[in-house]
Amino acid sequence: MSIEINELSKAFGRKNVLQNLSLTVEQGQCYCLLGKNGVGKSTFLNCILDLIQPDAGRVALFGKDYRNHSLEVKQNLGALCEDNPLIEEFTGLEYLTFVSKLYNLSAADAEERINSLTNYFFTDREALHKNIAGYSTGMKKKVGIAAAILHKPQVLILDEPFTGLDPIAAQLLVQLIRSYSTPNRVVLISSHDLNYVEKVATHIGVLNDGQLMYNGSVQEFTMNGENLIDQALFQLLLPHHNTETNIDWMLN
Amino acid sequence: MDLIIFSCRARLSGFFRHKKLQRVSLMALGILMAFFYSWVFSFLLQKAHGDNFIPGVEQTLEYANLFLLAIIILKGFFPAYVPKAEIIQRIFPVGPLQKFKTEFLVELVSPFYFILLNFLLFLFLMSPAYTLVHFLQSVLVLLTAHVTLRSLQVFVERKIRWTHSHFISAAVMAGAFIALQVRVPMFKPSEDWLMLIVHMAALGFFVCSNYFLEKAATEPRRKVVTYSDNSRRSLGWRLFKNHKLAKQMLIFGLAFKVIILAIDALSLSKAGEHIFEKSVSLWLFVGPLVIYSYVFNNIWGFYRNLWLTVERANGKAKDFVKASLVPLRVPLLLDAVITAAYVAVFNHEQALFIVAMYMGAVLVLTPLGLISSFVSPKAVKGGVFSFSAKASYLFNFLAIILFGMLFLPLIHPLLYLVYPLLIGGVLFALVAVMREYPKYKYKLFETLYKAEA
Repeated sequence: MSIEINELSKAFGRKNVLQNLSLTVEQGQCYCLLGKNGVGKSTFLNCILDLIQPDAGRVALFGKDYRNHSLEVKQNLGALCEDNPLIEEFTGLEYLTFVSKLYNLSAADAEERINSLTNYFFTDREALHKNIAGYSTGMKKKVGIAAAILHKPQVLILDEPFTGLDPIAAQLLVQLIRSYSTPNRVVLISSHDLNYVEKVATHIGVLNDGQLMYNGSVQEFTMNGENLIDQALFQLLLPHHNTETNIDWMLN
Repeated sequence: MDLIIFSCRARLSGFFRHKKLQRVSLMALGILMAFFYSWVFSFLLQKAHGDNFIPGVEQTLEYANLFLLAIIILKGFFPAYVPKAEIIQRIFPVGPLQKFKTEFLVELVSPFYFILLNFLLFLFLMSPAYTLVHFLQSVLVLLTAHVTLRSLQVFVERKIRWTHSHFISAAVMAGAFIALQVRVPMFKPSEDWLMLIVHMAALGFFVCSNYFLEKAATEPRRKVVTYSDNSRRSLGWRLFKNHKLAKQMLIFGLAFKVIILAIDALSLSKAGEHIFEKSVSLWLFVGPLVIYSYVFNNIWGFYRNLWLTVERANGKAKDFVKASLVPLRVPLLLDAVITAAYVAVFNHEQALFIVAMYMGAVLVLTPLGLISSFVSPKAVKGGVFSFSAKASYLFNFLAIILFGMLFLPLIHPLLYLVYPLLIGGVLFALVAVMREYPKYKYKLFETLYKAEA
């Protein structure tokens, strides 16, 4: 197994965001976490990334936890966080070189990978020589994604990777995730862009009220393709919801 | 080491990549100012050395060190809070010591510290009374101020595990630093090399304390907005109460003002004289400085969505002004109450000046802030007195000059005549600018929403 989460709980004030949540993501899976706004998807990912300390529970990656093997776990982990924190005074290229040094990549490897990733994502390479502070949201996201996979991590965690990307870049990212998902790696994504989720996910988890409401394969979720992911999700989360009655006032 | 050198070089080139001419000019101006101040201090030292001039050599050097200490710490909080630069995110496989070393050193690579170092170097070259030991001691003071600022930033930004062994270690190390500093503080100049070693040891403890404090800190404090559900409260009150960051900064600023006024009150009761009489610059804190640097000109940082809502509703200049003034009301009231209480209890003799200056400042800085928002809109994160890249340099200087002119009556009461001129001038400018609002509002939108980066 690759990612193992046991009885994870986290509360902010009086609000229990995660309640005894357990999940195992196996190698070779591209697991997509879905759910309404504010149900705790990012909190959950941040707990896995050790950015937030859970109140209870254990997170282990490849059988190792942060407590005893922090550096080892982080070396095998690549992540795009929700707020995508980059160093704004650096250029895109400088930032990627900086990240390569954090992962102890050799200069030759770093140069090759940075060139290949930037060629893949950026048509305008001139922009990579400007300060990140001047980048658009989409460009920052591309730099964040490139930084996450630069060191070929075994576990790749992407929080809202498609948000802010133009359709071309989003499609490129879909292709990249598909190529990246090899049998010895794990990809964990949180996203609201179900069109893209449908193209990359092998497994789906639906988070609601601090717990996993659904955890299984995409085929099972969509009943072997009978439903689209968005329909299946709507039925799961709001089975008796009648949208028409709530917006009557708009019709007159 | 490679990581540190690379980060420092990248940070350095980042400063001058854009607006090169502007940044280089500012740096040159900074060095010129450093030269000027070191000349002033060396002149004072020369005078102190020759005559029985007060303050003496020791005291002048002490002032120079205290000036360093204060300016570095205050820069982190005034005019606006500067968040700690987290250069190495926690997701990267970098050990805590390596992360600490890299961040600590990279933070020191800044034009601000470069200018301060120039000040010390010029002083060392110009004044024979400022010896090598004094110079090294001042460098230690600079580093201590930097560590203090870092520690405060950790407390402000992160949750601390108060009972964790790391925090206990940090407290013990800080205790060792205080123990070494209590008898002979670092800012008191000494020509004794042994004392320099003691100060170095103290700084070592303080750096260790900062390291353990960072280890004891966990996730960032959540920037939650706690909504006030009491609909009877005014919008101004709810804006103040609901925005946690704005509220924290404001409370910090007001607390700072209260401390300064309390020190003055204490000085009055103990020595019978106000500290303002000795240190004129502290008069600034009697005015509404905190409010105009923390709140009003941060409206566009904190409350810019309020502007857009107004703009979408009817888009009139008057409503834009109203929307800008709403967040100002409650904080200004709080500040005015503190000032009024101070004047009523501890400073009747200067009541006329304080009240006139306070009202004058409100009447000058409010229209000026509005004009600044109309003419040179920025998604301001600093304040009127901010020199951050996102603030308008022109309006910063204008605000400083105009606010400074309100202190002219301290020289001669006849100079109160400047007040109506200043107030009339800015109000006239505001009316003229408001007429141009329909044209300028597009620029405002671009700056606040589109070209924010």
